Amino acid sequence: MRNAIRTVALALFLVLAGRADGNAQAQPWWWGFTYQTSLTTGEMKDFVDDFSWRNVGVEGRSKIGPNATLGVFFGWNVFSDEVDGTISFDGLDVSGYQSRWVNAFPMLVTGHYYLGERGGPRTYIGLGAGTYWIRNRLALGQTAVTIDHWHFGLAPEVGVLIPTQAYSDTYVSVKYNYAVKSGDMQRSYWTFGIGFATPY
Amino acid sequence: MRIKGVAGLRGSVRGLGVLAGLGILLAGAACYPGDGPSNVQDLDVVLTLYDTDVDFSSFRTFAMPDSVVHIGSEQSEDLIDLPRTYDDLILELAAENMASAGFIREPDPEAAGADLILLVGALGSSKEYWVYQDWWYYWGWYPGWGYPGYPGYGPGWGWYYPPYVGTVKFESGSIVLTLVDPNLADGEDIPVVWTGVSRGLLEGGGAQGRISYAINQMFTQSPYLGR
Repeated sequence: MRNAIRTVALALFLVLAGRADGNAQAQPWWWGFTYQTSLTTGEMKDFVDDFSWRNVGVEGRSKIGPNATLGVFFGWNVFSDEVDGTISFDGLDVSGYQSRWVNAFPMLVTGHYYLGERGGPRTYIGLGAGTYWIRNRLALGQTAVTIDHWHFGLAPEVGVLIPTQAYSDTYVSVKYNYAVKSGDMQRSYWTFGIGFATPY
Repeated sequence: MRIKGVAGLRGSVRGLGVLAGLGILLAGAACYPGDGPSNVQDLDVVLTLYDTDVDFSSFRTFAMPDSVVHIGSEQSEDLIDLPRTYDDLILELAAENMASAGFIREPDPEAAGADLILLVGALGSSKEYWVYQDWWYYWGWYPGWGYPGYPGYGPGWGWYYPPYVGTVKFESGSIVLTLVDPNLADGEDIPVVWTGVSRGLLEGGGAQGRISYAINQMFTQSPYLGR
């Protein structure tokens, strides 16, 4: 946890320090909040096969040019599944009603590039890099096992920023979250977000 | 052209804050969503372990005692004694499943010997947990009319909800089937080649059905035993 806090703090410092260009007028930050749905893929889908409605994200982006931003993203994705069957290992088979959950917390430094003109809808592409703290929990019978891991992760993203009101924008995004294998666990999932933001 | 005033920006940031707070509240209620087990049977577990180096097709006969070994309070104070109500059912199911897997029960193992011995056991356990809910689970104390029934005395301390303290006890039972190879015995050490364990709460009805399902499932998930 300490390493993650240091990473995030360093990222924030770099982003903010990069904005201290001596100009008396501070460069604006763009703040957004998204509600997301998400879908598990790959090895994660073998553990939890879920399309989740329980996801949120908060992010800030700072302009580093007319068409680019650098920022940070924090999210919380919750997945659950219930399985009634047999799981097998080498020499061991276990049957029973299983409840499975994954709670994923992405903490990313992000960069985005925007197409189009200010004042109108703008498509953007971006990439996030950072850490995911992921809690995996399995309950079987009267026993539950919880395994937590930190993962390095990448999150490419595409979206559209739509100015909707004088003081806010709406944006939609599709992001692929890839958390590199850690502790013999690899996790990946899609998120589909709709959000509200301060105007860009 | 959009004109952004300071007041407007404040409003949008405030609005974002409200949305963010609501979102966090919603997500906060969803760490482990789902209904979970809906009845006692959902907590039953069947586990089988086997020696992956053993060729079970090389075994043909087996022997088993005519009683279930009960491990209870005499062996450990953490265990409870189970009734022998279902002993005959357990033995019958174990023998039937061994026969279905292709094994022949040796009627006189002392004279003729047997390739495997099936041991049948049962044990029960009891676990107790303390449950404590502090006063902040309620509104705490709140100003009321002083002592109830005496309105007009002005605000007072009203009712105080003391913290709730209680215990929850779970009793569980386990059936254990063990296959050992007596021909590889080394003194008192006899290698175990297969174990089947089922565990469930000693609650609810349908015990006969649950026991039958558990023992049958031990053999269903052990197809390597079949000849």
